[in-house]
Amino acid sequence: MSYLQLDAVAKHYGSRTVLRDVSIDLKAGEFVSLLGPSGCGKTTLLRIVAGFDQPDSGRVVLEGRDISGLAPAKRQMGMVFQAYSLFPNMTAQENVQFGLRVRRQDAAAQQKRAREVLELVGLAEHAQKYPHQLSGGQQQRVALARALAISPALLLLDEPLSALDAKVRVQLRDEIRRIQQETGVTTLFVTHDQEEALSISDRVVVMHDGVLAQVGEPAAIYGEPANIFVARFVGAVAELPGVVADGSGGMVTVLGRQVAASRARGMAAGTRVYFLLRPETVRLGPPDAAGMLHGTVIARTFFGALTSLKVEITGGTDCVTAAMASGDAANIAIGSTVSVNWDPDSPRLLVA
Amino acid sequence: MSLRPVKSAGPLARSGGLFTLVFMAPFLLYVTAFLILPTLMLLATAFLGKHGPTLHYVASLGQGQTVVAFRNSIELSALAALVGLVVGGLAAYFVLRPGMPRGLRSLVTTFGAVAANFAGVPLAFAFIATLGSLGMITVWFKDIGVNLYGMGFTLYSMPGLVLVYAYFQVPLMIIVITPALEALRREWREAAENLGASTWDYWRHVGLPILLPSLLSAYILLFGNAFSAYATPYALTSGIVALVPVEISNVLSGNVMVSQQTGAALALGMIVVMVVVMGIYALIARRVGRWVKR
Repeated sequence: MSYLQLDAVAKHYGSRTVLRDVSIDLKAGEFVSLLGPSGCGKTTLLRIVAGFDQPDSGRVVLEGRDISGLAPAKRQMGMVFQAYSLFPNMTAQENVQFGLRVRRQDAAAQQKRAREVLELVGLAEHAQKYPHQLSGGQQQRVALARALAISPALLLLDEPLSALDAKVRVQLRDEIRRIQQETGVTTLFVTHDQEEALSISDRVVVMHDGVLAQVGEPAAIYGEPANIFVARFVGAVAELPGVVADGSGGMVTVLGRQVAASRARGMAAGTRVYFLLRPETVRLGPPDAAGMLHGTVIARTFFGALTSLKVEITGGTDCVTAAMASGDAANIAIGSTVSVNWDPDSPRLLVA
Repeated sequence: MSLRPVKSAGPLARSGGLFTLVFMAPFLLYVTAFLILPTLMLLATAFLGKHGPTLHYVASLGQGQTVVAFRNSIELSALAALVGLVVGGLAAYFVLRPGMPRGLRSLVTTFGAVAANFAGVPLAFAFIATLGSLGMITVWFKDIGVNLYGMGFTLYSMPGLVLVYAYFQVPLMIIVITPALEALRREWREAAENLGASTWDYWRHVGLPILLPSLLSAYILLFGNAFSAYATPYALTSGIVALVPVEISNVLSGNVMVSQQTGAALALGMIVVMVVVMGIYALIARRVGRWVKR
């Protein structure tokens, strides 16, 4: 049985449809990310789960109980907001104790639990500081501790890392995952950052225009995008126009050349497809007749260990990006002609 | 060990300081000319008689009529400030609530700006014309069998003055508290709610404590505003209710007695009251606002 079930949830603001019959099931202890661009409905969905917004139709079911009409205060959910949600008039410890205080727990139990969760997030020594005395990352960790202090049935994270700088974001991201695994709390995490979603989730829900574009494990979302939106939104991809040339032999005509793509097997000849290549699957080599495609290196972007080279395919304006070790990439000059190759199992084909 | 010379401030910092001085100087001069010097002159006048230094005029502050005037002024100001604080604060809160009509806020703010400055003789006349013993509303009530003045109400009394003062205190409160109310973040309320807090819990533990420094400041402002009001109570009560500003006027331009020294002593007394009130405010504000970033 699902731990949390969102059943055909729909929401409109005036004439604008924000969510269209969204259904998701979460298992107990699962970490699920809602991933999508701004305006796709992911935050609205989270707010419906939290009870801050009401769905126009559909149900929110937690542990078999329909909580759609339940007030947020009665849902026993912990939520971490984007930023600035700590109560500024309370110390870190008082913030963490707040949920227990309004539950009229005795003071000693409140303090004990607050210490536990502050230690869990590594901020026990900052317990007596006010929010303005803490860094952005520390504030979000206190917010996380505050949400966990009430032992929530569900942890809701609304882009909690978006206001932090890159280094702190990665640290806190890993810490959130560690804490989630330690506590086993079922978590729904909203983000527009694909790297965040892919790196810490058990499953990722990609949303687009108020509908689910794909639900799956991070590797599946990245490697087997269900549609062109997911392929474009998650990770970098080169998108070439192709036509299946031989369905039995796994051959596709791309930019005038017949190239191998094992996923073409079983497809009808003549089917128009998006021929998708991830940068890490592309190999560049010296120009030779055996090359699948040929092109000219037109740009180079250095990322430290890796460098990406952008190659304009000969005879057109389409480009392919290859990600390779920076040491190898250094030997390929901008303007040089290269062959573009890949493993036949690598390209993903989506019917155009 | 060699000593390094201390670096002097750069030219930019120096020019910044110069600009500050250029723009602050007129203000400082203004304050000196029209606040500090008059206060010092008041001080000197209050302690100087015809034959040199004297405590006579300051000692006269302890006389019966003067004590009553100070007590009335303080009570009236405290009460009028409280009415303004509560009514204005609640009005601003309801106007700013989500879902209220878009135009309502600008309407209330505009009205507030006008009404907060509508005091003095015109305001007194407006109330006499409506709630005076022969005022429009008084007569309407009488027509339907309700005799306000027969029931003990009179505009020319302390309750009447509080009612009239509310006319400019409430709008002033709306204007000064609106930014503080707007600064209450939606996330605080939602976080509290999410953690199981009721509306009462939220206001008790979060909303009101965050607003408290602003509410205290607003109360002091309203108190000072009421404490220094002169034209309205003078036009309304003609001295029936003894108030310090009216007493000062009486001793400076009255028909019975003219004594600049007594006026200066009364004004000095007002300054002392305000200093004490602000001292109490500073003590409380430090306590309730210890979480505020300074």
